[in-house]
Parts: sequence; C-alpha cells; structure tokens
Amino acid sequence: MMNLIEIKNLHASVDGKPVLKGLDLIVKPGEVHAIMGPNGSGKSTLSKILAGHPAYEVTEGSVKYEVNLKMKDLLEMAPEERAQEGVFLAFQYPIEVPGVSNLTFLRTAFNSICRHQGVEEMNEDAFSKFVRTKMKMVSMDERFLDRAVNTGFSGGEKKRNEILQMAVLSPRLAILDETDSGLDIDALRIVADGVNKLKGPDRAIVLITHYQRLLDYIVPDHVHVLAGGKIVESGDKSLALKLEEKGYDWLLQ
Amino acid sequence: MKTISTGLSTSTKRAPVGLDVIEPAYLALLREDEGPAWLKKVREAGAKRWRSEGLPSKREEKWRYTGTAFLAEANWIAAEALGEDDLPSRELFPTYPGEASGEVVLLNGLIVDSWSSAMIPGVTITSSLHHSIEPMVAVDRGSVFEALNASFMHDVITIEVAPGTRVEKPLVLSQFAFGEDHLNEWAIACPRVHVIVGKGAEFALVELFGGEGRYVHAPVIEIELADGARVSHARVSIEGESAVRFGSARLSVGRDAFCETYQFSLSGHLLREDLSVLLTLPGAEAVLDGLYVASGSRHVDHSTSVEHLSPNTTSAQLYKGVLADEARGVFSGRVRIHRDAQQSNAAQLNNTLLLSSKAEVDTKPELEIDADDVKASHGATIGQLDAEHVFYLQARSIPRADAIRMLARGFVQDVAFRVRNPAMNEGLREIVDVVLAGESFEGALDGV
Repeated sequence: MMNLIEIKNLHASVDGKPVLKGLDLIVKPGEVHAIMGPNGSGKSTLSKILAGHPAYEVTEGSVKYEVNLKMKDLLEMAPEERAQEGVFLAFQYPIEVPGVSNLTFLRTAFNSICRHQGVEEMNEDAFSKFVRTKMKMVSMDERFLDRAVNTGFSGGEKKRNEILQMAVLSPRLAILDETDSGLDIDALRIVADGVNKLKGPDRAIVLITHYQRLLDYIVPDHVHVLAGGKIVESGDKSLALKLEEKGYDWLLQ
Repeated sequence: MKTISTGLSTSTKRAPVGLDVIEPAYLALLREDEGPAWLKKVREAGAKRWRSEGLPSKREEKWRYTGTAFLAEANWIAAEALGEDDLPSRELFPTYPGEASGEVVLLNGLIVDSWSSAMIPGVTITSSLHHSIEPMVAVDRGSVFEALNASFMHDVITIEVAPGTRVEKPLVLSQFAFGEDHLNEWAIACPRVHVIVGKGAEFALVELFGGEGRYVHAPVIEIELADGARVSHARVSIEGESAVRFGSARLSVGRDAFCETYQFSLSGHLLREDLSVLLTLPGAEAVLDGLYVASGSRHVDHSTSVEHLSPNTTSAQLYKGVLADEARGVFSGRVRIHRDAQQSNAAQLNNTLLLSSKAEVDTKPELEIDADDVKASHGATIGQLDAEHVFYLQARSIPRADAIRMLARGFVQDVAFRVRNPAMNEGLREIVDVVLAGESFEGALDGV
C-alpha cells in the first residue's frame, strides 16, 4: 500500500525563527495518528505547513502526498489545491467570516472540490439536503446554515462547525489542530463521533492534541511525541497513557 | 460648522453656481407642463431656494469631498412625464427578488399603473396629481437638491398606513429614471414620496432605484412614525453606470416607535445620500445602517444626521463599504443629543475595506452632546483584508481570487444580515448577492 503522506527531515521557521528541526512522519491510508507534545513544540506549525499557510517557511526537507497513485510535492501546491486534493485542517481558532452564510460557504467549498475532481457540481436543493444529514451527525441546528460562518458562534459551536465542514468535504487526510481544547464532555463526544464516522480504509486522521482525553474517544493507531521541533518518541496508544501519567519531562531529558 | 454661506462680508458671497443650466430646464418644464395649482406653487417655492443657493460648493463643509461643479457644465432637462403608450421596456430596470406585499413603480416620478400592483389592507397609496390633493412639500430643509426635487417633480405619492395595521412583507416602491442618451444632456428625475405610519402600525418598505440613459436622480422621501409604530425601510440604489444621484430621506420617529432604515448604494457613477432621523419623543429608537460598494472611478457619499430630541431615545449606526480601484468613499455622520434627551444611547461606526492603494475614503463621525447622562460612542476603521481570513477560505478549497471576492462581499453583506424584518433580510441579501456577483474586484487581487 502507498503512503498517504511522507514527511522527511522537515525544517521550518516563522519570522526567521526555526520551529521544526528535522521532523519525520509517515501516514498510511486507514490510520489514525495522534501527535502530542508540550506547548511550543511545533505542533500547530506542522498543521499550518501541511495546509499551506503562507507565513511559515520550509527551509529543508520534503513533504510528499499521494495524488492519483503518485507521490506529489505537497509544498509546491497552493493551499486551495491541497484542500481540493483532500487535505483538511480543522483550525484551532476557526475564523469568523461575517456576511457569508454557512450554507453558501459550504456549497462553494464543496463545489470547488467537485470542479477540481471533474465531478458534477451539486445544485442548491440537493446540497441543502445533503448538508442537513451531516448537521444531524454533529448535532447542529439547521438555523446555523443561514448564519454567517462562525460569526457570533460560541467556542464549542465553532469547533463543531469545523467538524461539519470536514464531514461535508470528506477529506482523505484530516488534520485536527487542538480540536478538543475548550470543549465540554458532550461536545467532545459529538466531535469524536464525527471524526470516527469519517474513518475509512482510504482516509487518514492526524490528531494534534495536548491532552490524552480525546484519545479515549478516538483511538489512535500511532502516538507521537513532538518536542523541540522533531518527533522524539513514537508508540501505540499506550504511549498516550504513559504521557498522561508521567508527563513529558522524561522524554526531554 | 461655518460654511461660506454664513460669511459676514457680502463681498465673499459667491454668485449661485449652475443657474444658467438649471433655469432654462426649469422654464422649459413650466412651458410644457402646466400642472395643477399646487404643483406650480411647490415648483416656485423650490425655485426660490435654488435660485438663491445654486449648486453646493466644495467650500461647504457638508460637500467638501463631493463636487457638483460638473453639473453646471451639462445641459439639464426635466425628466419626461411618460404616458402608458411611451413606456420603455420594464426589463431595462432592476427587479426586487424577495417576497413582497406589493409593488408600486414610479418612472420619472410618476406612477406606472400597468407595472404596479399593490392592494394591501390598511395601506392607502395616493397620487396628488390624480386625486387633486394638495400635498405639504417642504423645500427649506436638507440640501438644495430637495428644492430642485420640488421644482422638477411631477407628482407627490403619499402612502398612509392606518393605525394598528400590520404589514410584514415589504411594499416595494421602485423608482426608475429614464433619460435620453443625448451627449452632455442630463435628465433630472425627482420622485417624491411621503409615508405616514399610524399609531402602533407595522410597515415594511423597500425603495428600489435604477435608471437608463444619462440622468440625475434626486429622490426625496419623508417617513413619519406615529407613537408605537414599527417600520423597516431600505433604499437600494442600483443606478445606471453613468448615473448621478442625490438622494434625501428624512424620518421622524414618535414615542416608543422603532425604525430600521438601510441605505444600500450598489451602483451608479456618483451617489450622494442624505439621511436625517429625528427621534422626537421619549422611547423612540432608530437603527440606520448602510453598505456601499464602488470600483472604477465611482464616488459614493453618505451623510447622516440623527437628532435625539427627547429622553430615552436610541440610535445605532453601522456603515460598511468596500472600495476598489480608484473609487472614492465619504461618510459623514452627525449625532446630536439635545439637552433634554437624557438617558439616550447613540452608537455610530463606519468600517471601510480598501482593496487598492488608489482607493480612498474620508470618514467623519461627529458627536454633539448637550445632555449629561447619556451613552454615546463613535468610531471608524479603514483596513484591508486579513490574510488569515483569506487562508481559511483557501484551506477550504476556495481559490484565492474567489476567496478575496467572497470576503469583500461578505464584509458589506454583513449589514444585510442585520436586517430585523425576516422577509427583507432575505430579499436584501439576495439583491446584494445578485448585484455584487457582477463585481469582480479584479484590481484587488494583488493587494492582500
């Protein structure tokens, strides 16, 4: 089986300051990876780089991503192109977009992927039905469709809205950046439920999280510890439990 | 505020500008169209004012950023009163896409019966011309364009809403101008509408403006809300490409009455809107919001004035605009809280998004407070699109150029999302979508 994404010796900096210092990671289709680590270890930087944020500069290394059975240079692709090819980043701090309804936003995004993939776009009626089934899944009221994207949403509502977007866009590689932070236990279950429903043999999920709590609901195949800009330890789900118990200090010696 | 017309020395007073083009058009109108006695009286009253003032000068504070001198270089002509047999095609003019309780269409200020249908229980729509009713027309307030409106009008339309009536879906009042496409000849079209909303009545009104050919649109509306009335009102300008517009709206809000009024300035070469709101009695409340979009070399100027005359009155204003290319925007908002208007609230905000380094906005919020127990705030922001926002949309697969367009439209569309009347909220959002779908903001794409 081909890898979905291969990150090799990735070095990156923000405002000239190195943040990632030789990160390696391979994710295969069907897998769930959790990336844990202390604050400032570079977790969010990794997610932003994979999504193509312009403020992060890759100084060394490579990221290859499978497109139509070929490993392509992900870093060469524009952010929208990555999304069209199935890369999805659930933002830690989702952006408010006043004046654009959730429905319009979702449909524009969805149809942009359809166009790119050469699939027929969905008309308004069909899309509106389709999106309603996804809303049920994340327990979101339909009135959110007519509201402006994330505008005036609570923290939990914004996170659920990210999961709704993920469910609608059905990505091959979903990266969730601290999606669990600030959620109460009910919201956490809803979010985890949405992620678990996305799982499938040809999709992969990368969970970036600070806490083990999320991993009670979404069971990872691999757990990595990111510290000082590189992966310092990898293991199975038991590593997360060990981190919960012992903290990160034993790895940072 | 000191203006040149208040100058003490007579030697600094300039001769009124533009009379040599206005006067011939006015005299020609009087020759062709005698009209009823009241109309002659109104026209003369208007003429008395513009003959003494002439066109506004940039030396007047209120007109500092919007020049009108070019109007003195053109030939004026009164927009023609067209009979049913001479009508142009209805297709030339915009159509309101939302739900409505009825539509009345004015062409060059006259009702077009065959294009109108509005039978709304409790609402009476009268033409002074057809019913020989003498209207009250004030010519001494607002800008000189209100006086010009009086002189070049053909009719006064009065809409009366009986006390206790409830009209939730808006009445659409379409006002179109039709000018001949003669080079350097401007047809001046002057619709005039009076709306009287009775005690405790609820009413919704959308004014939709458009036109064909070369014209100056100078519409005037007055809306009076009796005690406890609730009104939702919008003025949507989708004027022709070369159109010049000087719109005036004045609202007076009674005891515990509520009014939301929206100015949507979407197209036209030069637009100037004057809005005056009087909060006359305790408990009166007004929301006055606006949105404007301009690209190319277009110019859009909003001038608002709110007078808090009684205690416990509330006003809230939000004007948002997007300017691209070499477009120019102006916002001047004056809020005055009079001495008796204790415990009043006033908030005013103007946000402009500049999509190019050559676009320009002048914004001037102004507060005058004579009472001591009030809450008042005002502010203005001028900015560019946020790169994080653009990235968020790109990360959802929306191409960069589309993302910028979507954000720019959303920036102003935000105002339409605030409309409280549900039917109008939907209809106005749709009309903004439709008009802005044609706005590419191409020049903006390198600016972020």
